[in-house]
Amino acid sequence: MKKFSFILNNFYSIFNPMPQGNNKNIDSYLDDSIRHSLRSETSEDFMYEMMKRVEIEKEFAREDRKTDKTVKFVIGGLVAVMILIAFGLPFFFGTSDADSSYGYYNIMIDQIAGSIEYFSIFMTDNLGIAVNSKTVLVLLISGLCIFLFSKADKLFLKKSLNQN
Amino acid sequence: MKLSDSEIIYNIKKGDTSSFRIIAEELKDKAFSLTMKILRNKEEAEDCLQESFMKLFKSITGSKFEERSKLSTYFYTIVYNTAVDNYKKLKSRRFSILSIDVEGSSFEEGDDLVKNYYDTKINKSEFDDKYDLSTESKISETEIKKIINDYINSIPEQYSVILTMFYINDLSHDEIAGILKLPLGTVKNRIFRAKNKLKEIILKKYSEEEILQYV
Repeated sequence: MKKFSFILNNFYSIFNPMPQGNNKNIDSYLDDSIRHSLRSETSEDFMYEMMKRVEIEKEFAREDRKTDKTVKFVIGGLVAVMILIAFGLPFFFGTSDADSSYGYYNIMIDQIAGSIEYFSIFMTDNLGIAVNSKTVLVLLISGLCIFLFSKADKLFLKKSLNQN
Repeated sequence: MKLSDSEIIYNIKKGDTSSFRIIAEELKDKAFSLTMKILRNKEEAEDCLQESFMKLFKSITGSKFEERSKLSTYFYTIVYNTAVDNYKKLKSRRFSILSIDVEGSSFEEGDDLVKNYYDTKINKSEFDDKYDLSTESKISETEIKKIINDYINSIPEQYSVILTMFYINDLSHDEIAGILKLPLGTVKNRIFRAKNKLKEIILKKYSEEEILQYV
């Protein structure tokens, strides 16, 4: 059976209400005082200096956008030129008496090789620069590397900015 | 009329830096109080705050702020993380909000809350020229304020950072727990204990009635 214990203090709150109002006032006084003690203020020129940085950042962002557009344009142009060289030129300069049983891709490769040779002769005759299939291959690989590098760089840059 | 977070963000994205100035004016002192509590050096704290504002600006213009939380809460998260990073770099030390075992410490004199606090006494002759301390009550009032100030400035960062977030940055217990990655109970406990300890120190010297004269 549960033991009943009579404690006079249990009736304290009935006969002598707890001074809640005062406690509340002390608490709010302490809250205000803590708030006051914790507060610090920046120096007077802080806003001026910061807004200067913001304006510079805005200008940088605008320049970045411009550069980005230019780079995209240049890379796009390069890729287009490469595609044109690789696939377009054979149709302009290639021979048309190819054997149809030889297969389309083999014909195309022959045409690419033929057009490179034609291009090489043209460059050597007019500009004095010797261009062969290896040179074009190196150029194509270099272009591809630049393209992949710029894409990867942007990807990593975005990731690191997101982390920040 | 006060602009909403969304309106401010929209304006900043459009290139309106005056909208950024509005939020910077509103948050700078509150955020500075937080960086000061971590770095404890005015120049370093201001540099850190500038860095934080730049991060916020870039986040908004780069559409990285997804408006999942309030702009101010997002900003205080940036401020806290930047200040902690700078603290590690500048002081070559590890900043740990967890380094004090609050649950394990006791309310006894000499616990972590008051390890740097020394009993505050007012030298009346020192203050006579500056303040009107003609009456005894004026001295008491000044002394109470000094006790609070000295206590707040002496408590470890593990408490003062949370108190600043709660009282100055107006962050909720949940938001503080989220930013500091602490359990909610620990955050509530630290605020309660820091305030209770202060109450205890003051009530040792002054009665409630005396204190209430200044409320």
